[in-house]
Amino acid sequence: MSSLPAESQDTSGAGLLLAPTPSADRAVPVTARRKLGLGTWLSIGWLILVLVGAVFAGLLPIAGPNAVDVSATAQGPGLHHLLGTDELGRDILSRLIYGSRTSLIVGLFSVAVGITVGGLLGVMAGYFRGRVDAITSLLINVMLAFPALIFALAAAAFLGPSLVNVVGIIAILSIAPFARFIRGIAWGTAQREYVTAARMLGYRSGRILHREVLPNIMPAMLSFSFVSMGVAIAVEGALSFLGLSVRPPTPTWGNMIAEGGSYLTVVPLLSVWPALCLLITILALNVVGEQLRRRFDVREGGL
Amino acid sequence: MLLIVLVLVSFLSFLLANLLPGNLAIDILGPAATKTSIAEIDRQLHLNQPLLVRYFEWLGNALRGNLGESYHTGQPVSQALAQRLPVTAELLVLSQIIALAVAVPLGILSALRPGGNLDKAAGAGSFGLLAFPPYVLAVLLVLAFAVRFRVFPATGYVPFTQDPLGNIRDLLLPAITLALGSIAIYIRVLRAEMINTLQENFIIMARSKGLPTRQILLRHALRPSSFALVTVAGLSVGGLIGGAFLIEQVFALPGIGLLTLQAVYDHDFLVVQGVVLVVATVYVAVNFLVDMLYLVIDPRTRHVVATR
Repeated sequence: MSSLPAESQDTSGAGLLLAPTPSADRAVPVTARRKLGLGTWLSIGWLILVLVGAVFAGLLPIAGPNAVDVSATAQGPGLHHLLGTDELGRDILSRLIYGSRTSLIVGLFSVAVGITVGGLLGVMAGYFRGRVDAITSLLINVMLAFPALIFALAAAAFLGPSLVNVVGIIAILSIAPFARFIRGIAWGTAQREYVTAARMLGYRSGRILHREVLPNIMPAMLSFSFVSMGVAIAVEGALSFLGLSVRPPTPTWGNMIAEGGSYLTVVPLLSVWPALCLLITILALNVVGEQLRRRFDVREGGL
Repeated sequence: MLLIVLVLVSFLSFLLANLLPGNLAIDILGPAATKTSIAEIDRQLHLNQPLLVRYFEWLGNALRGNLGESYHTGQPVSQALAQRLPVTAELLVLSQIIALAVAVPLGILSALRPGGNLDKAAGAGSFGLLAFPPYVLAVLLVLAFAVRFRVFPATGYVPFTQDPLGNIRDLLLPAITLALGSIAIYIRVLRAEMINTLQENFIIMARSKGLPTRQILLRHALRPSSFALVTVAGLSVGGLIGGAFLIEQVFALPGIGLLTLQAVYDHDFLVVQGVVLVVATVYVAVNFLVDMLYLVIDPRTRHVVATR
């Protein structure tokens, strides 16, 4: 967390704190870590289910997300509509499945940008240190001190609510946390003997980074990606919830929670379903990220 | 260092508000805008000046406590902030009191027997809580406590000076919502550091002297174990303020969150700039205080600073 401690600026505060707490787990016997528990399998299963659902939503035997069943408005769970219908008679299950698309697109894209841009910055700062590190760290600190949610709000409001804008905004927000996290790991890795050895052999920095440093920070990066995808999904949900993401009637989990919020007394479950989807998805991403971290025993270097 | 960060943040917030598309003059005038009236507004608001000139003008005024006036209501931004800030501040302070009151005992007890039942329960609970975005938690808690059981009011706010009890009652549910996220983080952090501390020699010494466990934990172990906790608490201020914004929206609390949201919807960028500046200043100030707090917690750091 270095000179200006500026770590968890993400809105839930959770993302970065899941990853860097390795020391406490020492008490767990090594053998216990090797097996994937039931929770992990359930998490993986859920993530696959959501992914498959989102991709093949059009092929599933469900009503369209905006198809209105006038004969059945504001119904509870039943045979015809498995999770019931909303106040307009739209099938909740179908809206949930179609709604997952926004979350997944935002999550995947922000992680991709985070890894490439943030990862690159972090590796450079951690490996080259000196002036490169000073400048990069300053930029990272500024980005982390800038209130993320306000940035997202203002940018979304000014640019207009659309999928492209939301994806872009959240992707930009994911750069600094990635850079910060990777910088710490790269810093530690650059001090290891094999890197020194490679330097002694006279290899160029590019080759050392590519062949020695990168492969060794991949596991940590992978673990962090899952956690940070959860954060991105939570932020998208927040924007949706405030009406600044993809607009209704296109369903997103966030705007479904907000819509349900106005009908809490009539159809209480309306906002509970999307809330549960959001929670389980974020939880599953955290579980998988945590498992990966334990597996590779990611140590925090140089923080 | 902190000052540079602050200046850059203020510049970024200025850029953000000014570079984004949308024409303020048209926003203010509405569809009836003509070329001359747009030019007139631009001149009045100095919008025809170069960007850097406007930035330094704004920053100079901001340093003197003048953040400009809202384009929509004409109210000075500093006055609007002064009205709304206490609500958000109270929400944040209350939530942190709740969070620490719950997390510190749980963190200590978890560390006392790592792998024990309480530790497992607290660990699983906090891991689960970390997955809850504040707005989701807020909606679910409103559903449970305000709609179903009617223990707390769902929305509303009374100033503390008018009705202290009513004020606490209105803020309790939002504060608990915000606290739950912090609790999860604080337990994990305190537990991790406490486990390390409990293996130190001075703890073994205290034990062998026959001091009661309670005294060892609270008087010997807690203080050196609270570094990470204090750091993380400082760092989470930014996230907490973000969470508070959303929670204010759910519970209709008239804090800076609602002010900002309204300003964002209205493209009222002087208000947004002012809020960003205040939030960033608070964030930097809190983290500066955290650095100072290290000196209080651990006398050794005083020595390090003195000899440096």
